[in-house]
Amino acid sequence: MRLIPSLGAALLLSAVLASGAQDPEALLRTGQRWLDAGNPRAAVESFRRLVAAAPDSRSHYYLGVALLQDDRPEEAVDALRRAESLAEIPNPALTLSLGTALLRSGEAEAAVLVLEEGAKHFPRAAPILIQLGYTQYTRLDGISARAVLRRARAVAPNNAQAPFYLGLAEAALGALEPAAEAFGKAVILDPRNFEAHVALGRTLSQLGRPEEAREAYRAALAEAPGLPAALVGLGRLELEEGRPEGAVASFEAALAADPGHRQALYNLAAALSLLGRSEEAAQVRRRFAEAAASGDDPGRSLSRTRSKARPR
Amino acid sequence: MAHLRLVFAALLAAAPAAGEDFVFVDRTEEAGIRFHHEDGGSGRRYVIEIVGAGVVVFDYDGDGWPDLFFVNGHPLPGDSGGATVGNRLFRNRGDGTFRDRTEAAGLLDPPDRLRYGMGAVAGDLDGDGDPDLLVTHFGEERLFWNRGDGTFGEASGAAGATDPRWTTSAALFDPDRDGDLDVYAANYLDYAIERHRDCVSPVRELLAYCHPQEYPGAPDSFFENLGDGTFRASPVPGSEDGKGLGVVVSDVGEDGAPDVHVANDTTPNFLFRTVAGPDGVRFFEEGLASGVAYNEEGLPEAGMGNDFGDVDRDGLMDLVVTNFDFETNTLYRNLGGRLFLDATASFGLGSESLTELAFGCDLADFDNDGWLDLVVANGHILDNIARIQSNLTFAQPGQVFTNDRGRLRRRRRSEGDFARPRVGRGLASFDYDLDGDLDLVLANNRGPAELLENRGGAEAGNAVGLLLIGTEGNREGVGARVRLEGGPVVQQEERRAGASYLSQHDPVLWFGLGAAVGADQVSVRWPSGKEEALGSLPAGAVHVLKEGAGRVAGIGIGAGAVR
Repeated sequence: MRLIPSLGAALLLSAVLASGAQDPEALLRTGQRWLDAGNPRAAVESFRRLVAAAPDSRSHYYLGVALLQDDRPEEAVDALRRAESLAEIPNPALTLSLGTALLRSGEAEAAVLVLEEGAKHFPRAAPILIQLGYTQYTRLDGISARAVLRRARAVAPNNAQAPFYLGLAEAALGALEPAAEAFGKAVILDPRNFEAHVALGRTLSQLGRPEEAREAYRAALAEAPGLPAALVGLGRLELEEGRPEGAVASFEAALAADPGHRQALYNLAAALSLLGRSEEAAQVRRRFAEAAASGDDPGRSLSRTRSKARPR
Repeated sequence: MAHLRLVFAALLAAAPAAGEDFVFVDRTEEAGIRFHHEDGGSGRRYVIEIVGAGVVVFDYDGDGWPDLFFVNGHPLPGDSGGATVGNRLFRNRGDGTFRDRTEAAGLLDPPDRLRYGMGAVAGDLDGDGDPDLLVTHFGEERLFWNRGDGTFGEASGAAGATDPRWTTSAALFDPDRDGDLDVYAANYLDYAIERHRDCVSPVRELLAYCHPQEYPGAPDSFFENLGDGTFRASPVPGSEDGKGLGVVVSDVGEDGAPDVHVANDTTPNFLFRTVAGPDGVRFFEEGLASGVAYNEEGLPEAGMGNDFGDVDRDGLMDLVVTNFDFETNTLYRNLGGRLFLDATASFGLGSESLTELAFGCDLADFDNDGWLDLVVANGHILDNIARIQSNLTFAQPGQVFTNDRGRLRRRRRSEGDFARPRVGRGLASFDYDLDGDLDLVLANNRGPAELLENRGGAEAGNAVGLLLIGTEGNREGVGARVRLEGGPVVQQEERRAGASYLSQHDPVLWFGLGAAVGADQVSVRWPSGKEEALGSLPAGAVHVLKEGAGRVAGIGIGAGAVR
């Protein structure tokens, strides 16, 4: 299986050598092919040569995109800023990439400024609105996020991302009914989005609507069999409804997929205790304690927005 | 015998009007309660500033009317204001008003004795029949003996009931079952002004109070009452990593031995099982095994306040813990066998408690229907939170959740003046005007205290109050479990000393009876282990029950109690 990408890379390399290293169009096509092949690092090299050969906005833009895909957001910001400075007119793709790169490099406030400016120029560009809303959500600005994501939903009613992120924003505002409504739209528009199904299940569970929550978790499992988050959600419903046997089965299935799943371990211990299986419960608690000590918080969703003040 | 001075005036209650509602109405001004909490802040954002303060309801002069003690802060370095009124005692005059008796009672501190207070707890620590006062501080506790004549005298060195750590909440209990009250004191952070650090919010780089993770926790303290007016202080084993803010005691194991729940801020909550032995009390931390250390996600929350109460009326004490914003107030269902399950969602509490930062709380029956409601005082720790998180505010409304046969629902129309934004912290419930329903007193951070009258609660249902006097165990029956039959549902309550957040509710146990005109059967399991069946009791009174003697006195409650 590992031969295939190697073969693809060899073919691409041959193409590069055959095309002439300084031909901008050839360098562009080569870089794009590397991106399509899932090798952003090689694409970066091609686009660096492209920038050297043709230092215009387009070249810097592609370099920025490749750097972003190569998980080098700070360098991407530099390239995309350069592209922006050379651009004669605003470019929505450039705005979106720069906003994304800024957010990923920890400059959320700058990202908002760029995306807000982009949203003024391209008020119907749903991807910019969605990215802006998501960025505001990560900055704990739920009210702004809600407003801009509603706009995104209005301009692109068939875009499944807008209601999904709107649901996150609503949930972060504690508005669980609107969050459930938004997640519900997200799964109608994109039934394969298992994350949206799980988010819907969690929200419905918090709203005290267990039957609908159960349906949402099952829908998530239909799309992603063995998904721990959905199995844990189902297990919690079983536990709360006084069926610890069913809960044990769900939590154990979640742990089969993710042996360190903290929430599954915690609740499995409770379910085993309820069944009087004290020794097993104690063993599971020890596993939970180890997982808790690792500091990994896989289940934390809403509370991640807590502002944690740190020393200067 | 102060309680015997109570007038025997049990009144048969009239049947309430069905469908009556209740609402909290601000009576602070009319009641003459003028107290302003001073946080001592200077803009440097010392962590201490955001924690206080508490309020205690107790009948210090034994006249049958519940009095109030408010704890205050103190100027901190850089505070140019520099003045503080210190702690304050307000005597209930029985006519709907209170009078500041701090100085007359000997509780007015000279300037050189003023310290930074946190909370307090009251109980008969020396067994002489009147409640003494233990005040917690950023630093050593102070103990004030009630002389029985309306004045207090401070015990030197708190008679040993002290340690130098930062104590927040305290609770009284008798885990060694020797008949006197011991003290559990929750300690928060290992923090000192000299080790203060400037912290900034990660979102907008604004100066903020440091996250508790920036400081180590401090072990809690156990002050064993030696029965001679002194205490022996020792750290509670197993509490070393805790960051305790709230303490409440209940016999969750149903074995007669008190269990201690500690709400820890960002670290797992504790549930200590206590075992009395020849070498003293032993504490066993079982928070994880019992299911109350974490929320349903398996995550520790930022616990602030806590209270026990039988929310679903299955005879077992459930537990509520108030938490930070974007954490629910978490309600743990007691499943028996020392097992709890985070049942916040199925209790109906999840969606309405996410955006509030909650502190003081009480599970009590405010509409006298026999089911425990929940009230929560909210308020953020950051005065600039709106700049950091646009949907949040520093001052936040209080919340009322009424209990519909085991499921809590937010009842905004009952919140009334409680819905006004405030920086809420301490909260306690009591029937200050003896009109037959539970009122609220609030101790707010850097703001005025508030008295909120419950209007309509008495009309919504009848009620009965019980004041306990122990004879073989501690004098106030702290730790007693009362079971009441009659009325809409079988009810159980425990006599506690210390709950909510830095605070203490009325020592009178409160039972809503709905349309019933009395309880058919009341039984008490005293802390001594003795069980007594007391037969029926009429509604419309606070009955005084004495261990071994049954009902010995009462005071009428209801319309006309306040002139």
